[in-house]
Amino acid sequence: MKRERGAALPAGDSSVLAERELIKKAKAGDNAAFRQLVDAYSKRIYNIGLKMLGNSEDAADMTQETLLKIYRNLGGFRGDSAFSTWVYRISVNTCRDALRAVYRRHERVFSGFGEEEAEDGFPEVADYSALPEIIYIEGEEMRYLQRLIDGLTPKYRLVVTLRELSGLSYQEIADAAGISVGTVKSRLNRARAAMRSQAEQDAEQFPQLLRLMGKEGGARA
Amino acid sequence: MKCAELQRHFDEYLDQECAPEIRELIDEHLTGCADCRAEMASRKAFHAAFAGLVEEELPCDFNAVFSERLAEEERRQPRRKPLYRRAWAKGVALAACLLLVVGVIGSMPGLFGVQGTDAAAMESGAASEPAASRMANQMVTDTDIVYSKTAEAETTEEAPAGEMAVEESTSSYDAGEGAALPAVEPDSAVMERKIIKDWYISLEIMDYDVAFAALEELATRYGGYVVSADSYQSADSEYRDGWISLRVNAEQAEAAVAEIATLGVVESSSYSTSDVTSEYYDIEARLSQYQAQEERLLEMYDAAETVSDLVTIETELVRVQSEIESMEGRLRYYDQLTALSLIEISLYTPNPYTQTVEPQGWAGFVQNLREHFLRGINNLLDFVANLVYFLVSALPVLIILAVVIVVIVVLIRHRRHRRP
Repeated sequence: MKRERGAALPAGDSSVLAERELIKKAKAGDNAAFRQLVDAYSKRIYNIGLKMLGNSEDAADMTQETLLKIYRNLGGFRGDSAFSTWVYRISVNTCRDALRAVYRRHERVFSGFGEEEAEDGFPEVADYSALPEIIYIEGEEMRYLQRLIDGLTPKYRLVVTLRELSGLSYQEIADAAGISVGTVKSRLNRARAAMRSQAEQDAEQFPQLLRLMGKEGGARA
Repeated sequence: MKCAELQRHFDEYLDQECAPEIRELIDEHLTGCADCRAEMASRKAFHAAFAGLVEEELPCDFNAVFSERLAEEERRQPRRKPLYRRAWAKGVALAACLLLVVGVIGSMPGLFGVQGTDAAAMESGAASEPAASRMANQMVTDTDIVYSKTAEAETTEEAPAGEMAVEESTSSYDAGEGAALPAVEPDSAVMERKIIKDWYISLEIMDYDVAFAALEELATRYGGYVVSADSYQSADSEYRDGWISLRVNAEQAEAAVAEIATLGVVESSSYSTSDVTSEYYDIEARLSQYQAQEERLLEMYDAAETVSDLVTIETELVRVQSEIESMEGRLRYYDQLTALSLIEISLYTPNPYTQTVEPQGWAGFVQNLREHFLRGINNLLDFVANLVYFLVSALPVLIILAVVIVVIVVLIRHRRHRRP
């Protein structure tokens, strides 16, 4: 079911062909084709930015920047990976730069979310103490889940966002973030474990949250 | 396997990303283990909960802003014309030539003895003539542009690493704008021109790391630094690409670019310039005015007698000083931009899928045969496509020619009819 919702953008063969046609035209300098080509992605890129950067202005800026990068570098796109993979990779790279700037603004150190794995023991997966406080309001599970994701440290938030919001496969996430599939797996595992344990902890205060984990009567599965 | 160990794979299992053998193990284990069944159900619910997350809509001004930025980008760096347009360009050129001929012929109506024989034909001829020649002129101009672009694209492609073709895009600052103040009358003998120059290079290299290290070293050697860098390694092949932005001493930028070109094969190279001279000296002039004002205000401040005077002067002083600071900041910014040129390099290794080992002997012969055959087909297709392009673009000319011929034929017949 993930795959249906997520949909690496070009859904069927016909749209892959259509996309290829658009790429060809856009490379040829057809700006209308370029707009059509990236229109399909801008919302996705924006949402990745929104989760990673935390506010709509930075996210919109980062999306603009990404689209311009795509525009400038389209000539270098060889088609040896899917266009969507290429687009996501540029998005992630742009996002990383933007996030670095955001961190600099707050005078914090950004450790990146690329290849480098923190060596010092168990890496901080999530820091929920930094958030104002996770509060669950009846009927607002989605907002609660958003907060769970927001509490993750950037590199974990990235894989969870690409998986849960963009709906990419492990391989696609690996390509986009420049990490191996194994790393994607372990990061997703850790991130989900951290989110589950936070939810369990919050469930002591808000028992309704147990529903998220299929416990206590109101199981959704 | 123990429960805990299997549970580590539950998320993959639910994501449908599990290796088949582990999937089998889990399926098998679940039938016999109630604890794990409960854990799996719980995780499944958790996964399902996330499926309800939806993406937010783009801000409503997003598209408008992007259109603007795209237009700006295009002004800064016009895109290179692609190969297949050349065929089209040839068609246009031919059509333009034909039109020109028609225009010339059309402007000499006497040639065909049109004069005085048929008023209506005369009139239509006269009306169509200026239009035709105007159109011809315009098309010739267009073609010129297309051709110079094409020629440039060809040199870029065929140029060995050392040679590069560059294109200058329009500068985005209006030189006339800052001329309002008399103090900034440009005096080229004294004034140094303030020009921001950015380079864009697309470079194919054999070894990514070597090239990257060379670029880093180059940036420092040319009195600059690496602004930002990004690289990407394809998971399933050797293919690598990335970007690196450098700032180097503006005076040595051209030498730096030439040296960068020796690192690999330059696929494209361009630069853009912005002339901020007038802007710069405008700010400088206003800055000195403000500084004079600041001095006067300080004097007045010292001489002030009432508190209300002091307050008024101080408010004004604060405003002037903040203006001064902001202008100094702008000047420093421009100084930095003009002192250090930006070089953006897009790096990539050759596409592994197009790198083939040349087979020897019989296999090589067969492959060559195949290649030549395919090339032949491609040439044929190109030829047909060019022909179609040509015909389509020549259509207006053909129509005009047809009209002219019909008129002539009719006239000739008309005369023959009369004479006997």
